[in-house]
Amino acid sequence: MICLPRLLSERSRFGFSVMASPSSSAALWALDEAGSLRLRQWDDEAVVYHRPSGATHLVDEVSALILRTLEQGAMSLAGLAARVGETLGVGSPEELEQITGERLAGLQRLGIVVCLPGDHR
Amino acid sequence: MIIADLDSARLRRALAETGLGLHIGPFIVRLHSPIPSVAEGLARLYDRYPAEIPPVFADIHMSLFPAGGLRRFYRPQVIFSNDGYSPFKPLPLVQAFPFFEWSLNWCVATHAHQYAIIHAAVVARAGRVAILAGAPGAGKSTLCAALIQRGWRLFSDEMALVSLSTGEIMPLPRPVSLKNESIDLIRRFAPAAVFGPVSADTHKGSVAHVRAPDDSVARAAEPGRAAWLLLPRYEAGAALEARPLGRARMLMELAAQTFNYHILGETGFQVLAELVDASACYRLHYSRLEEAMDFFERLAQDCP
Repeated sequence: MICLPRLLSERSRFGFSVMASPSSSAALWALDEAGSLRLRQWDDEAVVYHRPSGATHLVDEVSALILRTLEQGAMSLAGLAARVGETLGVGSPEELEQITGERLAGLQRLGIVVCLPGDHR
Repeated sequence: MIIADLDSARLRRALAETGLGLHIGPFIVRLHSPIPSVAEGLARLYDRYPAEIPPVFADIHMSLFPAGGLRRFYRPQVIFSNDGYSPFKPLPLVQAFPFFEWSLNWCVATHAHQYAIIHAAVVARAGRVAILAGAPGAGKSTLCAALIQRGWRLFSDEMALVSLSTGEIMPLPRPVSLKNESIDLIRRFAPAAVFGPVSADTHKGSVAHVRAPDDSVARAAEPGRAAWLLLPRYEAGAALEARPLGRARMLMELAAQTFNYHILGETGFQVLAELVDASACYRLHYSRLEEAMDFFERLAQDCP
């Protein structure tokens, strides 16, 4: 999957902002802010209230599981995919990473999760 | 005192001079207007509502006055103001009474943030509330007007007031606003229903209001709990179809129809979440009122 890293806030020693470029395996995924979400799930769908933006989003159960996991702390794609696999009970590691990666990309577009570069670990 | 206790001259004088305090659901509305059609509309459609002259206290202050200058003679107009502020352009004077109704909707939606205010018609049976949410033109008011003729209690034709502190639905029983074809449809469905005058050529087309049932007005202080959330849609010729809707999707639909959701923030989210959690949720497509009445009757019978 493609990890879209966020722009580092501090300026580099070259005097301009740089894009972090972590490898996928080194990157961690996290909520954009700790405690930023209210999440309610019914059956296989959930709604997420994002405190910083005030926006409400409809997500599927996989995304809800990812968000609940990230509420406990940052995690790698592989770790999240394994958690998704435990819940779904099916799928090869590659398939689970693809499913999880697609959901993460969607959540990132919503501004709910961020991808931290590897050196944050 | 109720409006019906005032003779026509006294009602007009109170409206024109001191203003009239009108108790509508949880609000006291101070209405000030010298326009005869406003007094006539109140006498016909609000006759059972408690009133005060002069009002001691009011939650909402409304004035409807004729425009001055040349507009006194040429295409006369009416101006609405709320606490001295006029948010809308003037309308033709003949639309003064519907303008009162529309302006009161605006006043509640922009001021009453102790409630989550959902754009919905609301009726109840045996204390259990059905919220019919949706965009304008979906057929909410038509269903609502029919249901109140079949023994359902009117909570509101226009907005569900969900208490932020208790989650209860507060009644705001007012005349039901019907547009265009719905006016004749309800006249045929319920010949005994009392209508106000038809206002033609408004921005909504022809508009008329149906009087709220006396029992609903008398019980305006009795809140209820939501049992059913519905998204009705009128489709000409369609057979009735009620499809269960996931609660998460219903919450998204309600959020889109909640006037003050952006103001309430997380509290609004929590209130709507509790609402959907406690309710059965449906999308309802209908065309024939009798079919729809049967569906609501089954809902009321099936729910313990």
